[in-house]
Amino acid sequence: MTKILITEDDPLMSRMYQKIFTFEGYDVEMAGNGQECLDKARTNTPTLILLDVMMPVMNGLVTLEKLKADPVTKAIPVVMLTNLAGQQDAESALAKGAVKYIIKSEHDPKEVADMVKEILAGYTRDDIPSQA
Amino acid sequence: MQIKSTKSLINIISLVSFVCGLTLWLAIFGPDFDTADYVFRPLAMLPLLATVINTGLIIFLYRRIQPSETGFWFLAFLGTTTFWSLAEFLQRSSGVLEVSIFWRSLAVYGWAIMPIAYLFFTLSYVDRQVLIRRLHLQIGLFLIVSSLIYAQFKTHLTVSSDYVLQSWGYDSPNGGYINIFTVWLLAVFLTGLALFIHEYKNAVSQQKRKQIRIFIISLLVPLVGGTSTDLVLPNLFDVNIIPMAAFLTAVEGMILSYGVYRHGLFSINPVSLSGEIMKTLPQPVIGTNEKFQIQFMNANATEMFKQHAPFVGKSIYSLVGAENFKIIKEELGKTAQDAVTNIPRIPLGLDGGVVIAQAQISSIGKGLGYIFAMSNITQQVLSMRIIEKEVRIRTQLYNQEKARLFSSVNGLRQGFLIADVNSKITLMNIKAQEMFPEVKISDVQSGNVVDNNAISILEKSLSNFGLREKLASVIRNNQYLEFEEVDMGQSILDIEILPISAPEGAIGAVVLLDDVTERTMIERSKDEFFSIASHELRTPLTAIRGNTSMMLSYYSEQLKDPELREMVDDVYSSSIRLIEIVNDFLDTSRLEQGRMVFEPKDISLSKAIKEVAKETNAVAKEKGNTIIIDGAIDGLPEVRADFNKLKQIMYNLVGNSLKFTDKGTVTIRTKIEESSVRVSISDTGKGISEDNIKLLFRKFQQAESNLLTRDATKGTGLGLYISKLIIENMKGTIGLESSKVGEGSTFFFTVPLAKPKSIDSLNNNV
Repeated sequence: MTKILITEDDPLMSRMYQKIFTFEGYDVEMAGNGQECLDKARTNTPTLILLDVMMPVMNGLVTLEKLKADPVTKAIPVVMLTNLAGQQDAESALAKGAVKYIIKSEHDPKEVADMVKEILAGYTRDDIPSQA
Repeated sequence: MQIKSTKSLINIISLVSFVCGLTLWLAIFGPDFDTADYVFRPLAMLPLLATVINTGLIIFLYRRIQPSETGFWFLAFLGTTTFWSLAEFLQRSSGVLEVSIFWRSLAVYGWAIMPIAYLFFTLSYVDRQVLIRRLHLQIGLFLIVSSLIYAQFKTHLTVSSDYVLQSWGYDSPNGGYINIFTVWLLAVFLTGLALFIHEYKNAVSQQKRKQIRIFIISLLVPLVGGTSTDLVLPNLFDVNIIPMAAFLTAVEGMILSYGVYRHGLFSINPVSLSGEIMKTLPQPVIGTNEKFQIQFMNANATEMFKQHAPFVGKSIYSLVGAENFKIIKEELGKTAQDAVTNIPRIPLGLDGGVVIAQAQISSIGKGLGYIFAMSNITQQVLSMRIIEKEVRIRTQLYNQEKARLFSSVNGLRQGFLIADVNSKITLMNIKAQEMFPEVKISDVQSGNVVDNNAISILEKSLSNFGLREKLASVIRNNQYLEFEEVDMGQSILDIEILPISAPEGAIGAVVLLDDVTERTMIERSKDEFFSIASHELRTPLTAIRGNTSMMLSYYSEQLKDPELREMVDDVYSSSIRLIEIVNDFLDTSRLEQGRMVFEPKDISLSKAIKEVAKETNAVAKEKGNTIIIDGAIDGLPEVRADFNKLKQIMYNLVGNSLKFTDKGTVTIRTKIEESSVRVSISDTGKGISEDNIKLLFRKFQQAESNLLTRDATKGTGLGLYISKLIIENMKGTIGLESSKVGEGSTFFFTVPLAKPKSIDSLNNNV
């Protein structure tokens, strides 16, 4: 089963994304901050990581850098999920190895799930969950 | 008029006297004249030669030198010599003794008076003509001359029996009487010699010295020659020699004339003309003796002081009053002997408007008297007073103007400096003084910089800015410079340097230092505020949107009640509208404050169009609309723009079209222009009324003038305003092409080509 690690500090957001990805049939793992994300990425090896940018303890961009620096986690595709509208943030994230930068308010959760599905199609065709 | 008639009167008298005199002479002497009485003697021709030469000289010099006193006496000298030599010629040519004695007696008038004419000539030549007027001198001279003339009648120039016929004619031996004359002549000539030598020593002009040398040589001729032939040789050595005094004196006259003619006697000695000059001066001139008793007043002086007339015997005291007289005496006491004393103001209060005069006083000779040259300066003084008053008023106005300037300058919140053309700081307002407390200032209010080193202090504070260089460049080029966010220690300054332009170029520069530390800080924190606000606002909105959308898609079973479903639907739509509003507000403020980051690149316009068309397709279908891309867009050249921002504009235009169109079409067309591509978006919607067209592209326009009639369902009305700001930022344009109510509207925007079609077309465009 495709495992998604959602890193989101805001419970409103984390619950929402947890629901949609669960609805969509993914195995969902949650992390409340960057550090937790790093730990879970190492131990659980998720198929894809959704990473919020603005977070306490360790922000998304730093977390991304660390994920990409660690040989264990560096192959895992990372999708940045944020409500910061700055274009610079998007670009620096993409430069640091993120595969996509999604602004949360612009998309319904279903659209986000569709985008993730599309990305995964490029990575691991076998792991796409069947439309239940 | 008066002067002219006096002159003609004198002319008449002269003519009448000349004619009468000549007639009388001919009448008295003529009958006695008999040519048989005269014989030709070659040696007698010598005095005739002297006569002819001297007559010639008189005729030649008369017009040239006669008007001056020195010239007059010189001509008199030549005249007496001529007379003397003429008489001597006739004496020596006489064949009869009585005739000879007659002429010899007549010659005395010439030779007795000649020394006096010569003495007066020398005195006036050395500027001592005043002495000629001394009565005792004149009496003495008169006594000598009259005694000589009288004596010759007594002695018949010794006695007729002593006369001997010499080879040069009848002549009497020189005896006691005639020797007295020789001594008289010698005395006068030696006096002349002494005066010349004295003058020679004092003469400054080289020309005058040369002239005096000639005069001295001329004197030596009769002095040595005459004394030898007439006195020393016959009397002491018993030599029988022709007396040549008359001839040699005539020779002296010739040499003197040469000296006068050669060196322009009277141009060197204008003092001789001073009397004439004084008369014609426009200035009032008064001459006094050493006791300040008036001796002379010219016409203007008489006019000026006419209320005090008659002047004879009066002191200058009675003209100027006690106060002024005291000052005059004091000032004269202070001045050196030869210097001119200037008394700039003598209040007179005379009739005829002479209120204030100026006087220049010079003393004549050594304590002989004074010359007062006055000027009426009443008018000047009055004018001066008016000017002074004017200057006072102007100065006051200037000071007021200056005070206004200073207050304005001091009221500025910016630091204000003025530098002169050499980049020297001359003025600093209070704010600038606060910024640079080390600079020395005359006083706080006027801000005059007294510190020559001010520029160095400023340069040190504004390290790395290079103020001196920039000032010089502004002044040199007469061109304004502006610098933003220059660091100065803990502060951040915006600096503007403006040339002070005059017609001849920049005469200095004004430096404005705007402390933007606080503003910059606020701007920086505002940036952060916007990021946080956008995040914080969007997060709950996203939760509303996301959850309602999930309710609608995954819980349709539970939302069977159509009213409940509608409510959830409305919550969902509201959240989307709110998100759009937040986005519009954030975009507007970022654009207005220039904080939106643009990254123009050479991008594919067709890709952008296709993406927009694809992404808006779903919305179009909801209202039964079709989006059409007209024509082949694959071949479009690249444009220079920020890809996402360009898409945002198109979203907005296409979105608007869809908003106002039902079951119609939205057509996107492109057209390549000279240096840009024009994209137009046409719809078949309801169109825009004339009144509302005016409001398009304005902030919050939404094509309705009244706030209460706003159609809140159509968004914030910021869309076109934001699009306009964005496209202008990318050097493009945006506008309404056409619109007709009921038929639809066409909007367009242009975006610059990455590579303009050709250099020529680019130039045409510029």
